[in-house]
Amino acid sequence: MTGAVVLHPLDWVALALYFGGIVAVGIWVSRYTKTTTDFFLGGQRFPWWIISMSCVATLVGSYSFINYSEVGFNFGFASVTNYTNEWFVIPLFLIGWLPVIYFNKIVSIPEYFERRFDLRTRRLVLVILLIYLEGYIGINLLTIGVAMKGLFGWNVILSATGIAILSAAYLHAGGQTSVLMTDLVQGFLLLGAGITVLVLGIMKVGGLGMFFDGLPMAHKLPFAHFNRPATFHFVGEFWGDAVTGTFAFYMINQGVLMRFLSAKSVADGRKAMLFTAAFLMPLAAVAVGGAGWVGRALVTQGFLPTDTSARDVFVTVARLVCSPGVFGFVIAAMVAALMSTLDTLISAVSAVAVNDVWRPLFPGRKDSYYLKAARHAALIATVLGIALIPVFEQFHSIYQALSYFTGSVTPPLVVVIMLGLTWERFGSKAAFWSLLLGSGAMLFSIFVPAVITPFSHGVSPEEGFTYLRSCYGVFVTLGFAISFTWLDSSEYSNRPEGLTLSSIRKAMEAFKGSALDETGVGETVLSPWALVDEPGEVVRIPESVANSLSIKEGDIVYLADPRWWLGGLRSIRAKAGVSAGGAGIEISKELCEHGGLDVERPVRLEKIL
Amino acid sequence: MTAIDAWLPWIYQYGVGGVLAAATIAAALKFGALDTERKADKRLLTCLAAGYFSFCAIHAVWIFGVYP
Repeated sequence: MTGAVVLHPLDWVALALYFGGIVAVGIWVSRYTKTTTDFFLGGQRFPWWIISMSCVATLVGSYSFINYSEVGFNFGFASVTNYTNEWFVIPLFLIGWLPVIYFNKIVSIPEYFERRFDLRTRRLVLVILLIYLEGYIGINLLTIGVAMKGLFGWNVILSATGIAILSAAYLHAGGQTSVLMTDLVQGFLLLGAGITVLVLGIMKVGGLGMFFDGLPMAHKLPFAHFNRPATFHFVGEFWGDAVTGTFAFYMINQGVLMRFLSAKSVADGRKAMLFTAAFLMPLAAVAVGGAGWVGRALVTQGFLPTDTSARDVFVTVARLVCSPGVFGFVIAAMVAALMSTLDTLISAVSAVAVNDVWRPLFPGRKDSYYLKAARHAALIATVLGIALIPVFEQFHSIYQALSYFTGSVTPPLVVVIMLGLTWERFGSKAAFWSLLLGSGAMLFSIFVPAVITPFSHGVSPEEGFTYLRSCYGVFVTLGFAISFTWLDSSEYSNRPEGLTLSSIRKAMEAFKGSALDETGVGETVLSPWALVDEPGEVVRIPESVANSLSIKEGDIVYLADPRWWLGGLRSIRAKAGVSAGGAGIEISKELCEHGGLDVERPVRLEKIL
Repeated sequence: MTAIDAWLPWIYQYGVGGVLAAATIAAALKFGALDTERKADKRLLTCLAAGYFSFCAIHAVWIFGVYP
C-alpha cells in the first residue's frame, strides 16, 4: 500500500452506520436471553437459514479478504478450493457428530470426551481447546489491528482493542442470540461487499472478456498445482484444509458447534450445513478471492503497476474501483468479518469456561449465577485475546501464524473424535494416549520438520512442510490410536450408549423420553392459541390439530410466530400435551413469556420429534 | 502445463475424498445410523451424493473448459 488511506466523509458515514447498527441489533435482541440455554444455545429455536448465514459469517474471518485475495492474485481461481471442499467430511458431521451432540444435550466439546471416554481425557481436551480458541481470538484481533494500521496508520493493539470491546459489548448482553442475529447482518454485508468489488473490478477492466484475457492459463484452473511451489500447493490444501481444517471448523470449533446446537432441530441443522456447503461457501469463495483475480487482470491490462503487492491487493483494488461511500461499506465488511468470527470464538470460550471449569468447581448454583459467570468469562476471553496479540506479532506473517497454530493443534483431536464416533472398541486409554502422544508428535515436527518427509507427496522441504503437517498428524495419531486399542480392550464391554454411530437411535429416544414416531415430523400448521393460567411449561394441543400432524402426548413440538422473517426470535420448543376438545392450543404464561409469543397472532406449530 | 498437472488434483481430491466420504456412509449404513427405509435418511443420503457428484462434475467441466 502506498500510505494511509484518507476516507471520504461518505465512507465515515457508512462505517458509523455499520458500527451503530450492529451494536444496536446485538443489544436489542439480548432481551430474548433469559437463561444459560438462551445465552449459549440461543434457546435452541432458530431455523436453518439463520444458522447457515451465521456459519458463513463465522467462517469468513478478518484474514479471509486479505489472505484469499492474495492467493487469488498469485494463483488465480485456485483460491476457491478452501471453500468448495467440504463434501468429504460433512457426511460424518451430519450423520454422526451433529445428532450425537444434539440428542445427548452436550453443550461443550470436552463434555463429549468425558461421556465417551473419561474425565482425564476431558481435562486434556479442555486444555488443548482453550489454547486453540484463545490463540484463534488473538490471531483474529492481530489481523484487524494490522489491517487498520495498514489502512489508517492506527496502533495495532489499540484498534484491535476498540473492535474487541464492541464485540464483547453485545455478546456480554445477549450471548448466542445476539451472535446469531448480528451474524445474519454481517453475513449479508461481507458477501455483498466482496461481490461488489469483483463486479466493479470487472467493469473497470473492460468486461468479462477482458477480465478472462487478463488471467494466465494456470490462474483459470480451479485447483493449484499438485505439489509446487512449497508455499501453496493442492495436496497441502487437501490435507490441511479439506480434511483437518474442515473437520476442525465444524467439529472442534466450539463456537460453530454452538451455532448448530441453536437450531430448532437436527433436521434444521442438517439443512443449514447442506445449504452452506452447496451455495453459501462457493459464494463466499468468490467474495473473498474476487479482488485478487480482478487485481491480476488489472495488472495485465495496465490499470495497476506490475509491482502491485499481493498482500495489499484487496485494499488496492477496492480503493481503485469503489466510489466514496462504497469503499467505507467494503471496509465495514472487513470489520464485520472480524467481529462475526470474534464473537463466535469469545462465546465459545465463555461456554467452555462455564460448563467445563466453573460448573464443576461450583455445582448446584442457580442458573442466573452461571449466566453471570458466562458474561464475565466472555470479557476475560476478550482481554486474554488482546494480551496474545504481541505474541503472534512475532511470526513472519499472519497466515504463517494461523497455519502453524491450527495445523499443530487440531489433527490429534480430529482423529480421536472420528474414531470415537465410528469405532465402538476405541476406549478411554487409547483416546487419552493418542491425544497426548499425537500432540507431542505435532510439537516434535515443528522442531524437526524432516519427520514429515514420508507424507510430503513430493513437496519441496524449504517451507518446513507447513501445509502437510496435518497429513503427518492424522496418520501418526491414527497409528497411536490403533496400537493402543489393540493393546487394551478391557473397557470394551462397558461403553456408554448414544455416543457412537451404532447407538444414535438410542440417543434420540433418550432425548425425546419416549418411543420415536417420525410420521408428520417437519410438517407445520397454523393454529390459534390462548394463554392458560397454569404453573410450569405447559402446551396442550387440541386433538383435531394434533391429528393433522400425527402429534401424540410427549412429542417435541415447536411453536413460532407466523412471521418467518423473525427467524425464530419469537418461538418456543416444548413437550406436547393433547387435549380432547378446544379450538386452539393452550400455552402457559411462563412458556409464552420465555418465547416472546404475541397473543394477538396465531402460532405456527411444527412436530420436531 | 501438462494434462496430468491439470487433472491430478481433481483425481486426488475426488478419489481420496470420495473414499473418506464413502467409508463414513458405509459405516453409518452398517451401524444403523442411516436407514434407507426412513424417508429423512434417504433424503439426506441423496443430498450428500448430489453435493459430492455436483461439485465433482462442476470441477471436471471447469478443468475441461480451460484445458480441453
